[in-house]
Amino acid sequence: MNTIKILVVDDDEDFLFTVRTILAKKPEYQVFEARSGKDCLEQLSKVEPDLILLDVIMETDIDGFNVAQQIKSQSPDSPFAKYRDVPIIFLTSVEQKSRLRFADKIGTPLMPSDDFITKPVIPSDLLKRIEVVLKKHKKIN
Amino acid sequence: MEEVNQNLNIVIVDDDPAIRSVCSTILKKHFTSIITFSNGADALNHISSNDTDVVLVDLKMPGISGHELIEKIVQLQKDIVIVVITAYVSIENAIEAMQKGASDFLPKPFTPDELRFSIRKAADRRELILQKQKILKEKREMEENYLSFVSHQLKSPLSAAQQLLYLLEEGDDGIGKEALEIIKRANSRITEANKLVNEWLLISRMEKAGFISEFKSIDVIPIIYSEIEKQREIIKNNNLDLLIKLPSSTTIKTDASAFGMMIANLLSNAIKYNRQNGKIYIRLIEEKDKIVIEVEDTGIGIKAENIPRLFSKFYRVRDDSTRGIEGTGLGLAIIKQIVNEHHGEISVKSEYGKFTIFNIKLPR
Repeated sequence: MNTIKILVVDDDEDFLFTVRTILAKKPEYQVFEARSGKDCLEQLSKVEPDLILLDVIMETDIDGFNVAQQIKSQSPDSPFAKYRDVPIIFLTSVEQKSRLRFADKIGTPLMPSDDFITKPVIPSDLLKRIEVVLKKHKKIN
Repeated sequence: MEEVNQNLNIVIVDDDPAIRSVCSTILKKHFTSIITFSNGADALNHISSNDTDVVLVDLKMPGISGHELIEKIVQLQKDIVIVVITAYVSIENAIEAMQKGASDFLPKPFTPDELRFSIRKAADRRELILQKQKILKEKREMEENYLSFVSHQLKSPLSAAQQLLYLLEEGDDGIGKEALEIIKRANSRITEANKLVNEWLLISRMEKAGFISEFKSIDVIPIIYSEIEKQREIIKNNNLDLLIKLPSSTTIKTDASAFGMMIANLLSNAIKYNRQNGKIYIRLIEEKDKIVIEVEDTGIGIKAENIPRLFSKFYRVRDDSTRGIEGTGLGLAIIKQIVNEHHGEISVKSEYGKFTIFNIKLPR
């Protein structure tokens, strides 16, 4: 069984607990947690995640918008160039109607395998979305 | 020691080269940025594309007159302070220039001190205008940040609590039927609170900035059908009969998202406050200069005494007939705001226990 490493980034302890509990149902998922944007960027090289669950609004050092911009930066000397293609599922508190408008809001284009989901998430829905994103990503890469 | 003001950009417009030269010489000791022009057209060209704080204008010039130049500078809406200089010392001229937007009047001939004093006054005035603009901008930003902050602070714990309940609901721990019912009820109340915060945020923003930034000519019939489609299932689940009478197309000046929200709220009210096996009528009548939209339900109706407060924010009729119906008390306030932005009218006709008709007139 291939282990899939998922990095969950959220400043809300209860949400981290929830995701931990939901993902525990799938033994192949190995969950890592980051409590701030900076924490996430620092952990990237240690964890080498296959997927990032990223809260966009965090009241910590840097928010999810900024994290996404840094990871997806196309600049040749970006320190995160290696993680450019790691799919991201954005966690938002407001329902997003359009993919394009959401990309505009986070300030960086989305990859086809990126997705966004509104909090609170329904557990079965989150598991499904993760599966879809991972499948799409595998097909593309 | 003379203080030199680096920040003030002064423009002098006079067809008389002697005046231009004298003014620059006097002012150069105190201000670093002074540009002179011999005619209004060149001056206006410069002012419209460069930062300008104070303009000294001669009233009597060939080409564009001083009065015209003042009007054109005011039209730029840059809050530039204008001081008039002219040899024609007539009260009428002064009053006319002030009415057009000049803030001071300097009769020729003037002493260097008089000129310096007048420009100092203009500089102070400009400073005050800039400070006021800055404060207003900060106030707007603070209000906007406050709204976002409060709504986020309210929503985060609600969202987290609901998230935990979802977890419990879908857990494999063999939760009893009774516990599930309790979770369901708690969840539904949190959803209600969340909706309240969202609608409060929406209407607070709408009240300040307006909801519609641009009116476009749009066929509204597809919007109405699309909103009906979104609520089709709940209409069916409540055993309601929907009767639609719409023309095939009707174009008005509106905003698709605001118009859709208005229809969605009207429809949602007609569903919520209806009775089992009731009816909903949606009608659109085209008139010469307006359209009339009517949404009628055969529901619980509204008592006459409750109608005046119906469109107030957070107002909800609370009696036996509305018990158990969830709502934020903002739906009608949102509808009213959208109608107002169209310069339209909304009225309501109702008989308690029988029917309610909302009638909306929007200009075409």
